[in-house]
Amino acid sequence: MAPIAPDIFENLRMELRRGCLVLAVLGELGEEQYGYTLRKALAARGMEIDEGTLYPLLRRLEAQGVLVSEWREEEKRNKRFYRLSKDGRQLLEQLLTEWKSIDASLEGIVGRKRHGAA
Amino acid sequence: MELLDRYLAAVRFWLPKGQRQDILAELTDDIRAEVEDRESGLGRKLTDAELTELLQRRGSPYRVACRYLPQRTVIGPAFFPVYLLILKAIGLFYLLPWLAAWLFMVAFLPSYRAAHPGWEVLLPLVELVQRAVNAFAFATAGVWLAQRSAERTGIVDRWDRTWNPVLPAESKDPLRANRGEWMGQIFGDLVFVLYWVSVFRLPAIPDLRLEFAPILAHTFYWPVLILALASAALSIWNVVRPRWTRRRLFVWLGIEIVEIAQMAILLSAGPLVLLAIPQATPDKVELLAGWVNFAVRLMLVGILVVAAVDVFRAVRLLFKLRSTAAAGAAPAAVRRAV
Repeated sequence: MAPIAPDIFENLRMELRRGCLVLAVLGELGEEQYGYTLRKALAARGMEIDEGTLYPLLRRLEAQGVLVSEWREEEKRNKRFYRLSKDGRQLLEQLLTEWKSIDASLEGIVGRKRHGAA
Repeated sequence: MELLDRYLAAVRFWLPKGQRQDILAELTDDIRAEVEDRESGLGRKLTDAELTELLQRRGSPYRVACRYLPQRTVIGPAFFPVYLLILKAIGLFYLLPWLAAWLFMVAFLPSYRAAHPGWEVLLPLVELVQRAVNAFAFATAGVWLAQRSAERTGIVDRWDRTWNPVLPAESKDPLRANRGEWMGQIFGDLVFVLYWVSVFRLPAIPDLRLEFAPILAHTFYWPVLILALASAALSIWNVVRPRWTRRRLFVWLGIEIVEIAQMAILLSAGPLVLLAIPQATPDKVELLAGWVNFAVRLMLVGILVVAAVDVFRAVRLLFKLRSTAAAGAAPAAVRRAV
């Protein structure tokens, strides 16, 4: 059987991470941050996200009422600060519950097979 | 930072008007923050080359702006295959015959070339492009309207247990001839044979004599008749025993190749139909004869194209039969026949 092409793995990996990005962004925005520091904070925790994905995502989440933003001057530059809205906090809790449930299900499916194989 | 300003100006061009300033302000801040970060790490200003590399990594201004724009398509993914099918049908049944007819007139009708001297002979191609653009525009608008009304009326969202399409047939055996197609072929062949041997005749038109030229009436009389009878025999064979065999595929291939050869010879010959109208002037008779012969030749081109397609089908089936036999998957009856 031919080996799986690296780009197939890369595409699936990106797809998997994309689903988790919203959760990571919402998790980081429990405290107010602006785009660049948010990006660096996510990268420092192993969730690298390029600016072309992050900013449109932030705008979409703000349009959906999950985030609120405010333009403020800091270090002599105008920056847009984002934080979770009240609804956003509630949504984050719901998504975390869902995430844990998915994690448990996957552990049950993949973990059982792995242990069975071992 | 002129380079950065130019980059941002280029991004600005593609952004939606209402959000332009907002997006640009945030993007500018993000890029400047990254530049400052890099500069503080290096302990010096970025060179133009380094700044260019940083901007290139972010993507072209168009790509950057695209990420902020909503995804828009005129034809959605569900309707796209239908749209593609319509476009193909337009190409195959409208534009291609049009082009073939034009090529035929240029190649075989001296009167057409005389009427369109020099570059004028290419002018119809401009018309063809216009026709293609119009046809594609109508197709796009039509499918868009169908898609929009389907979504607005909610037809595409409706489903209940009473709405059951026919279950897909079991995987079709590719080596089984389609009986309907070959019964149609028998009918066509028999009608042609009866006409060819003068059992059927076209209704006579007063004061007009229409007859085949000697090449058709004499030289090709028997070859055409024998080929039509062979085709009818093959069709009957296919209806009675629909599963293709190697021998029968070679017979089909032979018939189609001979048909292509006949058509090619006839197409390169002179007039195929002779016309006589005693009351008309010779130039009018000549003009009418030209059009009648043009129509006959067009029909022969059609037959030739169908025969070429059949050759392709027969060769493909031969390969399929060989691979099936090699895999040992063919039923015993087929293996016996092969």
